[in-house]
Amino acid sequence: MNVLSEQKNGVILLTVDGEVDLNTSPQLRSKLKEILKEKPEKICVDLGKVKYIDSSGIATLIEAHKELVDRKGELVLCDIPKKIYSVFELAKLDMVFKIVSDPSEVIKG
Amino acid sequence: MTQHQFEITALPENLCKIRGSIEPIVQKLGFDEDQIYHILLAVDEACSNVIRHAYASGKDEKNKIELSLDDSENKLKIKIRDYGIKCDPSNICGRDLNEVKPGGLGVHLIHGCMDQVYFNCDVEEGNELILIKNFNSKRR
Repeated sequence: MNVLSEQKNGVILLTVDGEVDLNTSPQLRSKLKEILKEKPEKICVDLGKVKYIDSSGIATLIEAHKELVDRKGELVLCDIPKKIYSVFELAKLDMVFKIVSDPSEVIKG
Repeated sequence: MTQHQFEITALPENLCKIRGSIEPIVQKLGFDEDQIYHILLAVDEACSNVIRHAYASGKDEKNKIELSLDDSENKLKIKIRDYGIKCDPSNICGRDLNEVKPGGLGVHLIHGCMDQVYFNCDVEEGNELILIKNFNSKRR
């Protein structure tokens, strides 16, 4: 798994690539914690290149979402592959997260 | 009837190997892309639980997970066997999905992804979890 972060127009864009499971999710959690220390208002997590995510990866996203919501921020998920979206539906998380199809919907020039 | 069996050390870094071993088998059985993902997720979540709870004492090369896949009787039956701390199935429950919090999702996902999920209570040592996915009209 690779995680790349960049700032675009005040939004932190986090691009995740590969498989997120019990072995790799601590790396994602660590990256999100590092970003959250900077108190960003909005984080956009691009999941378009994610081939697999399990409950530990989803839990990591929920943790970050809760922390941002607590201080009136927002975590947006984008470009979720269809098979992964079905897991978000199973967990009823499609109703919890703001989900968009493309990062450009969040990062406006 | 076709049966496949694997044994692997119960380590987080081996979860991708488990998924990689199972994927071509379930692909050959004709499940669609979403169903394949759901089967891999259920097995992965169950093995993660074995690593985190049954073998909670930590990393040990002696801690093994045995997996068997059996595609008889219009269903895929997957057995996940460990020799760790015995769990009480009555204490295993997923979280309330209306409550948004990080933990407790794995059990819910296992049940949501498979048609039947139960423990074989006859094993004396460790645990044996049975996961069943029915073949249905959604197969390719």
